[in-house]
Amino acid sequence: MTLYPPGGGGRIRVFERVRPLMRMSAILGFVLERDPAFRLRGVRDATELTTAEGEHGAWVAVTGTRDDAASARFIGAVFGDDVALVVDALVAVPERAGLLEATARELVLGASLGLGTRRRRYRYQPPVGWRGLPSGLVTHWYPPGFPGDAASIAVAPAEPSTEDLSAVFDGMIASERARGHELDGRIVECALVTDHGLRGRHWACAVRGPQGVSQRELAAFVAAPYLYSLRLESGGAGHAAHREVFAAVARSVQAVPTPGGGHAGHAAPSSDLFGYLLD
Amino acid sequence: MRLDLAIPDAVAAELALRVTGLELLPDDQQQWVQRTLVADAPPARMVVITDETITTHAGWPLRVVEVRLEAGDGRALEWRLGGFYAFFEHAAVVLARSADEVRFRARVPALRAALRDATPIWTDEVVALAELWDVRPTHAPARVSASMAAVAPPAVEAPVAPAIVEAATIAAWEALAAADPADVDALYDAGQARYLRGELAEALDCWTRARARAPGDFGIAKKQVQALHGLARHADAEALMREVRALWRASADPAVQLVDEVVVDQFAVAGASVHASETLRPRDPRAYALQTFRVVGGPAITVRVETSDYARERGTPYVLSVARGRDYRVVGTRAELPAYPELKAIAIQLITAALAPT
Repeated sequence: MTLYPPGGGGRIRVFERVRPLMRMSAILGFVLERDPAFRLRGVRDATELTTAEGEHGAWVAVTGTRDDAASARFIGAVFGDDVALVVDALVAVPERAGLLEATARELVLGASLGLGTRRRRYRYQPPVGWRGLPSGLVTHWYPPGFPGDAASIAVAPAEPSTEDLSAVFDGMIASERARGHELDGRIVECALVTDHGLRGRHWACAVRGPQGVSQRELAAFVAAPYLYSLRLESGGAGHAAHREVFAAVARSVQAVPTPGGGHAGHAAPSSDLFGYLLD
Repeated sequence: MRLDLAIPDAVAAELALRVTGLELLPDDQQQWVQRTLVADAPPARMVVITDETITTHAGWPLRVVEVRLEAGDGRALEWRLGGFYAFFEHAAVVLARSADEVRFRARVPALRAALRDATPIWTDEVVALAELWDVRPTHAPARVSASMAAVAPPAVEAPVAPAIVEAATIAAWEALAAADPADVDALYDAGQARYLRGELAEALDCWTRARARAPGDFGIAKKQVQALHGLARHADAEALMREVRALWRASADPAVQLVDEVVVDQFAVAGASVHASETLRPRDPRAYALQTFRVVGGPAITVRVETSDYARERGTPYVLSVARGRDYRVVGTRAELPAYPELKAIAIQLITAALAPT
């Protein structure tokens, strides 16, 4: 879909279902390869946003030239589970930048993907240097020395749930028993609050199985309507280091955005884009 | 999904190599190994020289099989070494071959060592939401806005040219930079403010100090180039521009990787602002502008140094042109690329003429 403002001076193009889910840099590449006349000089602004539906998104302003004239564009994206909605506003006349930016931003913030409450991924800081292997909505993280350095962190999607947190721990113990593991020693349990204010519990225990004793840790948080859980499996000499990594990941968990107004972070005024001396 | 494998140049130069991506581990692994080792070979008998199952340095199972392929008369056709990986339920293969046994033997130890260093890259797709926001600003306003918020009144938060930043604000940035040796943005902003005020030597000083704190910063290096050209230190600017290109090529920052062209000089001609820019990534490598002098915020006037396959074939690779709107004309050709000061003088002359009322 392409929209033209009254009087011209640019256009807004909406790509409704861009697959697969891409990083914002790849989305910029996706947009720019469809307009080879645009030559990029720089990224002036990049912000995160949340749509009115409570979906994550991003907003970037870029400057460049097009057909020998200074040009700019605003590129916004709304990230679904496996697709993105992309809005590309091209500014051909500087005086139209404000209108095009405001309209495009409104389209992004008000975008309706209709995904609703569901099992969905949430934000956290991935463990540095570890490699992620997705399996559906679950991501397993492995340390650089894996499998010699035997550990993994499993980050499950946020689950719509009314269960008590202790049920998550009971579920973990049940799954360990199903794998032929038995609890070995005591369970250490404590409260845990993330850097973003999510409240939950943390459990640590050892399990004994055919391969010997290994360590388990579980962090779970609840913020209605979602329940969040992460799990560490660790064995061998690296356990102390794995615990630290796991704690850092757990503390970084952020709740799924709640539907509401929709907002974006700070954005430089669009007139900045044609502040030529800043290039 | 792929294998992260660093093959030494000498091995790659002397052995024919094939590396697969990560695929599902075949059910019949023995057949998989045999089929792979004789792939693309004429009918031959396979003689296994060595066959061992080891682990990579990280601990992944790795089967290394060395074979000789023989013709029916027993003549050796080729020597092959296969590395067969199992990563959970995924497999990868490295197959090296040569018809020259001496060459093969000489490179096998290095190849074996490389095989043991390999690790799987499971996916290039997004595995954590945090990866989605990988673009950060490369240009001034975000930096200016971020640190200005701390030291400057709101009136100067949006420094639209020709905004002149107060000396007190510059002093505040300098104080911030002095208080925090890691603060690059304050120095960058002070340099930008100096540049806007026409204080080029002071701007260069700020950016040089900022660069000392962040040697790999593409955006700062680019501003240093602009200041150097502004100070007529063209040789220094061109030397630094080579660094800028190297930083651009090596940058892991997506916002830098996406840049197509970079402004290297800014000046005024008959009251019009002109940007001189260099192309980093040609739209079409067969014909493109190496350098462009473009009037900004005014009439569409552009002076270019272009090159093309055609011009190179004719022995005059560099074509000077001027365009005013849709009116384009070639004004000369050169066998050698003129030095920047000469180009700038030509551009000023052509732009002045193009700006003159007709």
